[in-house]
Amino acid sequence: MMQMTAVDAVMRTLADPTRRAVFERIVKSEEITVAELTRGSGVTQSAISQHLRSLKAAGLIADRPEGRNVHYRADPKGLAPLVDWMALYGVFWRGRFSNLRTLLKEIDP
Amino acid sequence: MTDAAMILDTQDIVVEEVFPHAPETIWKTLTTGDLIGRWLMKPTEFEPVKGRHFTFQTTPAGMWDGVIHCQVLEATPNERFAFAWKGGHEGKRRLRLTAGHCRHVHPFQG
Repeated sequence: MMQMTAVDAVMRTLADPTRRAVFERIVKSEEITVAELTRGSGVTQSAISQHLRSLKAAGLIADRPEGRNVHYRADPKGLAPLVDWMALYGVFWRGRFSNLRTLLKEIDP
Repeated sequence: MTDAAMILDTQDIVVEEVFPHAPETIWKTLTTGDLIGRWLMKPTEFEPVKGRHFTFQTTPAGMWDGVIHCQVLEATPNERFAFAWKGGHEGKRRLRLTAGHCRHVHPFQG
């Protein structure tokens, strides 16, 4: 089997809608505990914990234990492999250079 | 640093475009604020002078205010224009535009 790269891990981890929802809630909070994440989620605490382990393994979140609680926060570097993967295709710049081509034709037909 | 991060550090995106126009015309589109606004985005505080800092305002996302911080690295009229491009939490990109032959190098730093 091929070795998992960082982008594989990020994509695989975020492909699960529940896990992605957990990640989105963590991103929106400065820091959040597993109990707070479970509340109102409709998912058991053990399921949330499982998702947190996956998110942490993929480098998407970091944790900070404090007494009996563990606080989770998003790791800003976590999404970098995904952003870099998308940027590889240079879509943004190709689009802009297409605009530039049009503009040049307009001012210098 | 992981191996993946090190690879990303040295990765360039190269977009090469040849525009069939005079270098002077291309230079004008690359270095005039209003014209930059028509193909890229409207820059703020822009001047095609080496060392000049300027910004682009894009849509804020999450914890990022949407501001792209740039600095002119090279400005040789009708020949070469390059600026650094930095947005988001991490990373530094360099945009190098050569008049008459427009080359875009986009290196990543994780």
